[in-house]
Amino acid sequence: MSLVAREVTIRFGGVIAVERMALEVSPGEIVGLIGPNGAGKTTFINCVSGTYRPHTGTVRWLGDELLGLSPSTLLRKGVARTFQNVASLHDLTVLDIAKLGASARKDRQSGGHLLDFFRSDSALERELLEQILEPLELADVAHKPIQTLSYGRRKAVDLARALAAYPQLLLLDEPVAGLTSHEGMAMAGVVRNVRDRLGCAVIMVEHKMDVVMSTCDRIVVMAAGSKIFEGLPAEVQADPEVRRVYLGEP
Amino acid sequence: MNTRHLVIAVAVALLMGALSLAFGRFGAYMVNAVAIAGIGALSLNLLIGYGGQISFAQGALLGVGAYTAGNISNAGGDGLLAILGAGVMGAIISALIGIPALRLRGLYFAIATLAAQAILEYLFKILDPITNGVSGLVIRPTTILGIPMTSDRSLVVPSLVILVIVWVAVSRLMRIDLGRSFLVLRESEIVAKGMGIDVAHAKILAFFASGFIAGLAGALAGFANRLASPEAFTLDLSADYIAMIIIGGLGTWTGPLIGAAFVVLLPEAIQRVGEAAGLSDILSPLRELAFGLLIILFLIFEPRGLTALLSRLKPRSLAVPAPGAVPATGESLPP
Amino acid sequence: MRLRHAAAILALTLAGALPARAQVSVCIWGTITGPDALVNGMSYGIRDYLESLNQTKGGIAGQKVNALLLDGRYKLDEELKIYRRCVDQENAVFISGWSTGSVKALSDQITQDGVPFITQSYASEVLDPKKFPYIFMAGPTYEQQMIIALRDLAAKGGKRVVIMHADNEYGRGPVNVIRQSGVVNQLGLQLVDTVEFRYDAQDLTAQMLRVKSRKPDMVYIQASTPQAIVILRDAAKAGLAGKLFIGNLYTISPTIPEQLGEAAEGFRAIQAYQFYGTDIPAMKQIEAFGAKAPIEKKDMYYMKGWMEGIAIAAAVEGAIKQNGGKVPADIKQFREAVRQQMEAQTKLDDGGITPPLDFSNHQGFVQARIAEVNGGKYVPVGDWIDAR
Repeated sequence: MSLVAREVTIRFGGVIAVERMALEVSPGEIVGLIGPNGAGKTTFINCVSGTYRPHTGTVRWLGDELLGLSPSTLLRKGVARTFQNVASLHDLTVLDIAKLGASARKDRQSGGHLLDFFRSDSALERELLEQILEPLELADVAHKPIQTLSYGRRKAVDLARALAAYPQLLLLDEPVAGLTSHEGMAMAGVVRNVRDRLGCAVIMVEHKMDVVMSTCDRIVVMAAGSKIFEGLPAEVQADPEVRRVYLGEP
Repeated sequence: MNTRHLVIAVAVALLMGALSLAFGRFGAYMVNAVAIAGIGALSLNLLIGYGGQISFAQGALLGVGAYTAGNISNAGGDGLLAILGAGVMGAIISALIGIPALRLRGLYFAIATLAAQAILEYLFKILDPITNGVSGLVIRPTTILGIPMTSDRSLVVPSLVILVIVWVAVSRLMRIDLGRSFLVLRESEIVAKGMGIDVAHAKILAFFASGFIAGLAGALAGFANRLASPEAFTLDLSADYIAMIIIGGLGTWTGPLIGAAFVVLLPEAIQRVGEAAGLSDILSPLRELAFGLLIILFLIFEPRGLTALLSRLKPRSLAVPAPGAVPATGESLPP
Repeated sequence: MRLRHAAAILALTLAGALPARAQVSVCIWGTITGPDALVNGMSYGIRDYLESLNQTKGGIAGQKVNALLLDGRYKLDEELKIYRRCVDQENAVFISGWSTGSVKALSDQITQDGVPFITQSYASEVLDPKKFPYIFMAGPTYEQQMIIALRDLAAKGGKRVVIMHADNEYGRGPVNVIRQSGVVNQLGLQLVDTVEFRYDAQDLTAQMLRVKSRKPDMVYIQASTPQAIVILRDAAKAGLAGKLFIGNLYTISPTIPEQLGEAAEGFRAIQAYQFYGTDIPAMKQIEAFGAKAPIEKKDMYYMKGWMEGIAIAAAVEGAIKQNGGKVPADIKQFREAVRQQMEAQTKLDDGGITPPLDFSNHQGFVQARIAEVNGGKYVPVGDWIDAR
């Protein structure tokens, strides 16, 4: 197992958002994290990606403890994530965003920024265009400011940024929410392709069941901050407890 | 893109150089003043326009540069050494001013820079061995690489050379990872953090780079004025620089220079028009008013400043994106 | 394209700045708008005297004079800019400059440019005919003004002195010179406190309470009219009488009694020039001029300016006469000749505004007397004293 999370608990005031959550993910595996609103899925992702600091628990990646590390350090360790909502960033083009993502790959000493002044990045540009932007159908808008793009394409840009880091662990927070079903399925396809190519572990928080079912190798269901079920996609639909909390059936 | 910027920068510098030759000593002084203000505005635009960190301490930072350069030069150091030393000192002080920015944001941080401005002004007055107190430090004409800088015309050369270097360097900076991370930082720290940008590191580097450039401008101002005095580096000067980058266009490449030229030359233009029309008694006091009014008008109607205004006048410019006035940031994480 | 527009703006502005050349040009910059505007009468005085020559005598030695009055706004960069304009574009043969800071910053360049310069700042450091052969001053330095007040106190048997000054060069410089000279003790007086305040302070109540606790026999103010108004207003609040206070040359302004009324009664100040309206020959000229053009400031500083105008015009006239009645073609020669003529003036009559002027040592004259606010007006209370 590459990612091993145990006993992860985080409270906000008196509200327990995530309680004793455990999760294991192997390289090359896509795990779907589902559950009703407020189940703590995004909060859990935020704990893994360094945005929140849980009160208890451990999250180990290839044996290293991740908790307490900043997002920037995590990115250098190969942990990248996307966001539910995407920011509108003025003056930055699609390619700029991808380059920002790729910058995590450079292991730079301080003062390295000075070298950047004199370094050409045309090779990187070509690579990003071919490897990342082309598959996400962003190559034609690579030089456009992202605020001119549609919501769906901006989500693709956010994914491109995360992928440009060539992550080993990819955390996706509702990657297809707000997209048309056609766009959503295309995005899901890209995620599978990336997994195939990079062999990375993927955790995907998602509500759209068709996308989850067709993309994920394994599914974990959360409710009220805890894991209530874990299994293959087919098993999930059959489980009565999952149906009860998730679909509101008696 | 970069080559284009280099060509433009060199062309502008050559044009300014030609103007300084064409209009005698006064012209040379004005060109020098525009170049120095341009460098200072590029510095502040880097911090505010690109990095999103509002600072009211620009005036004092220029002072740091002027005092540093004056002391090095008066002690017999070469002018170039003095200018670089001023840059380094400006960078260090600016980074120190930036430290509260790691904790404070927006308006709260802006207030902290106000305090920094006040503290530096006070230090200028009391650190007698370095600043010569309220009398001000008289800076003797310097020599740069062995060439004496005794006239206004000779000083135009280093100012224009530095202007070109800084202008192109800022353009380049915005095309490398560090500059791109400034742009994200400006929109939202939360987004920047989520993207894996080391926010603290990027912020301090923004202050460092901006402070270095401010130090250069301060050094050149010191050489031009031959005096570094506390009264020359007050909050008024900070306000002038903020006016320059707003009028020129926040976060644009040409804006700082256009704004600097505008702010430096407008009072003189009003004065001369007033004299020609025999109304100088009435028009002179209106100069300050005109500034305030212009800034308000720009903020309301053209937040991207003269740069946007000019490019709109340009007949073939249809490809200009229409950015909103206020950065509409989609927060990516729950609070 | 943007650049073309920028260049156009630049070019237009500079083109508008093309000089209009007169053969005799005198450049005056003062604070028309700015913190010192209350005491800017001399800027108008110089201009008006030269204008009156244009009206009555066709200028100086038959040459029309271009007297240009500019606003330095008490800002260093603005003043440095104006200086360049005066030297380079206006070809001024004489310049009158304002702030202490700018005069110090320019002192080397004035020598380099060889342009006669009269300073409205009384800073003693620039009064050095050897080091600064082109800089002239017309009246006692700030230090000499202070000594006049101290001597007066000693003569009246007072003892305890407090000095109040602003936190800038104008305030601190002369006070430090006086403290280091030991003149206070030599006169048998005691300096019990020195109070510094912000130049733009609007409330000095705390400082006045401190002054009160020192039980002074005299409080000397090394600041200008705007600050004196704040000091006297808050002194009244603290229960200190106006008669304790004495200010330098820049605290003689009708504004003080006008604004403060009773609180200004008894306040004294150093007077070096005759007041506006005094029955002297110069006043007749001023009134004649005033019949045709409005007089901007009817105060002592205007008289000072008028007097400086007389000195400048006399030097210029001498230089032209020396050159056979023609303006020297070379501005450098012209300026040098004017400087020499200025220095050569040893008994110049300025119509009674001051004693005869002697610029051989660059200072014109050094006498002054004390005036007191009485019934809302400044009234001289002593004889003219030589402050040397």
